[in-house]
Amino acid sequence: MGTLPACAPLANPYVPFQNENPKRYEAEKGLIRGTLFPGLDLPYLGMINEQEKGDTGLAELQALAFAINELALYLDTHEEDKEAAELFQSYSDLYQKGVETYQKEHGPIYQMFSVMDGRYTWTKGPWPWEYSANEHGED
Amino acid sequence: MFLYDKKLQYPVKIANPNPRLAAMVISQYGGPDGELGASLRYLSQRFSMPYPALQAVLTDIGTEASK
Repeated sequence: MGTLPACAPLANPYVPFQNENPKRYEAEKGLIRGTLFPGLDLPYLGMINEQEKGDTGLAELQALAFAINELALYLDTHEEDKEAAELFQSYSDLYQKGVETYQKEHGPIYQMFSVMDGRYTWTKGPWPWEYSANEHGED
Repeated sequence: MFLYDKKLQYPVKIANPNPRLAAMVISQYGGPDGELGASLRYLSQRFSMPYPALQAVLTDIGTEASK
């Protein structure tokens, strides 16, 4: 091993840029992996989330809410974009209908709707952080 | 998960603007020993609360305190 001349750089950083029209996952896979772009999918310590989201009402609501949140972030700085505003509205309508159907079957998501058949049902488990809450969507 | 409601819990009309008082009020909200810190403590205590009714209470006051 020799030494480099004093004028030589110690290290060369390399920053790859994302090209136009990069490869994309299918939307559903993007939701599971946490990014739409394979080039940005860098799992921590190689741990990959392969767990499929069930084809359930809850998973559908979660996907819709994600899309609505992302559109809102975009619209915050692009409020003149009519196409995005219409998409936002149509997803919001779908979400509202979905919530209604879901709550009838599985209990309240929103406290405001927690009286069902005259009974206050908010405290009835499972809470969303309990594992069993992630299973009941299968039925 | 939280949703922001674009309304206040109680109507506020400021008759005499007072920046020093405002700074005190804001620090009661987000500062040390403020509402936000308390709200996060309620919300993390609920995970070890064994009684469902009190899980609900911790969830509800933790949510309310962050508003």
